[in-house]
Amino acid sequence: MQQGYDAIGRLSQMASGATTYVSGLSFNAAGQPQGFSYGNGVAATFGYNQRLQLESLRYVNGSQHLLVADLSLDKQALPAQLTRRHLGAPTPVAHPSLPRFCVKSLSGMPIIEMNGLSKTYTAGFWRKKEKFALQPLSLSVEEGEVFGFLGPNGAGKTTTLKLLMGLIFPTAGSATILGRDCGDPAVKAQIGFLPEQPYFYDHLTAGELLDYYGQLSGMAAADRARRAAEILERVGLASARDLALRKFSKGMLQRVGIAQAILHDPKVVFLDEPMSGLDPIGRREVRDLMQLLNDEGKTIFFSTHILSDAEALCDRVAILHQGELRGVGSVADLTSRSRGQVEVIWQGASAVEAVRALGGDCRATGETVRALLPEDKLDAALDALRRSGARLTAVNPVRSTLEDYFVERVSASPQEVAS
Amino acid sequence: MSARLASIAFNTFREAVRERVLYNLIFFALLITAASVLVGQISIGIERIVLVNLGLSAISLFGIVIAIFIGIGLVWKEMEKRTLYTLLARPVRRWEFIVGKFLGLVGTLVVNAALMAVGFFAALYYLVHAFDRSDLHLLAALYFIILQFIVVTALALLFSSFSSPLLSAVMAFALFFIGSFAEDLRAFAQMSEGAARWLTVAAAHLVPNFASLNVIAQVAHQQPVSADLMLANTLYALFYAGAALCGAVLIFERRNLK
Repeated sequence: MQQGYDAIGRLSQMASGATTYVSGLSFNAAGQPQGFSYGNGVAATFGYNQRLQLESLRYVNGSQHLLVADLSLDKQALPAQLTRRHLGAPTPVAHPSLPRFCVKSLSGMPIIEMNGLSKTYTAGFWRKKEKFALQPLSLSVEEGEVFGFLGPNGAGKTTTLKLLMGLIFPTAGSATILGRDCGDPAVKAQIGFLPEQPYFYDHLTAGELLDYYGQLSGMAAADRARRAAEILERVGLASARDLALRKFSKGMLQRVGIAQAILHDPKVVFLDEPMSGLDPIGRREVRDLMQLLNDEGKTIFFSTHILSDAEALCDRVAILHQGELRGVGSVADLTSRSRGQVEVIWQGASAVEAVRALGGDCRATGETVRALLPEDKLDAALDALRRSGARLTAVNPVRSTLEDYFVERVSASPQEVAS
Repeated sequence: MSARLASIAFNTFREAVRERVLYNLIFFALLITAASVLVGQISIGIERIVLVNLGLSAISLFGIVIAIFIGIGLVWKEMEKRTLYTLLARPVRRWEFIVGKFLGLVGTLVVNAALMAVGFFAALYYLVHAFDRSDLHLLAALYFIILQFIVVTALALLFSSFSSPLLSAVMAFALFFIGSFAEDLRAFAQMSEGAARWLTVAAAHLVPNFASLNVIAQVAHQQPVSADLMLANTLYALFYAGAALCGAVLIFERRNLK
């Protein structure tokens, strides 16, 4: 085992509610990360199926932060998903089936900035009634981030995206993308946009549509043909290149939508509900594609009301409700918050009563018992288990999910939000 | 012309062709064939006059109907179907979209009219078995018809930039109808008095003067079209269409897409 890389970062989902710093990743002879040590000096080793791909790991040199999220300590479980932040050139994961150890570079440079961006619609015969579609919104998204814009339907997500795309005009405030006003055509050459439930000229074929959009983005003819073929292949539509768009299914249209959004190799990609209307496989594919785009260094700003997608993809999320920003935070932080409960799993049914007496909620399946109990009762429970001769299998802190945070923010009163 | 303008114009043309707009040519072919056969039998001596009147009027009317029905949907349809979202998220300026759409539809109408004109001249040849110099005047009438298309398309686009297709169609047809009697309206204005006179004079000069763009009867009687009229009509049509397009752009530049 060689202690080669000096990866310093935060490792979430480590101990109960704590955010811990990884102080050393260890690697085997093949160069694969094999384990790490963290804050209190305890070393851990990855289980046999927890080997990570070194191809996606980059040496971190003077990085301001390296974030490793969702790494499970449980030997049996795979490290579900690791978000990447690093300073080297990003590399796609060679074997997508294996867990990713992703390290991502964040220059700290804001790519999208909204300053008090708001939109009010007037209604009624005299246009005197005012309706806030978006309360003054200030947000900034950094280069290389996957930023999730969450909210229930009608929260103002699409309004924000339309404002950023210059499709509607703000009542007040401003927004910049890549340091320029968002309406600037020079900006638009460097961004891609997928609207919600996209619809395209149905008299065209997929190939013709991409060619047309390539022309509008100022691409040269040779580039257009090459990129169109490449992108259609990438979104799985290579065989549908010459098929009229009117014959496309909803899922196929969504793919064409993504294809047109990334055709001109934009730096920032805006996606409005990219997974809506897709079946589970389609959703997974879109998610993988988004991850891949991010691996290539693109900043991704997407809206969704599907929280599991956001949790799987995003570095940070913002929660919008009734046109108002209710919270912003890093997914790793939000999902590492303890809920004050631990899950204890053991073999041996005899200890059930003792744990129940401590306020544990026990469920037994044969000899295996799973109990949820308050954190402060953990020691007492472990004592009880030891006394009864039960064999402890696992102790896991119960963490907040993004959903918990979402529900909390959405149901919070405006005063709470302000505080 | 910028590459983007050309792309948008070409896509508009391609859409019209693929939406089978040119199918109207079949009706025109049937009409002109039937007319040339029937006219020869029933109107001795005035076959040419009847055929020219009928043929050129049909070319004009078919084109005007297409200009209005497609023109009113040019902007509205793209907003309604939200195809504009992905378009305007590219480095396309809003004026380029409007002008590109305009050029595309005018191009479609010119191609359509040219094909009809070929059919018309073939029918004429079938009927009179020869062309003479005065038939060149027919080209002047055709040119004026194209100018009409330009004005109508610009107006349809203007209406389309702020109102629903139905209302746009009503307004465009009404203006075309009133404009076709613009000369009468001007004469009427001269006869009225007081405030009414100012109003009618203003109205008579504001509506597009389609009457002066219609020389079909004149060329049917083999009368020449003066160069002065050609120049005046060209300037008038371009100015009028330009003003309508500017209006469409000004409205569309400020419009929030739904």
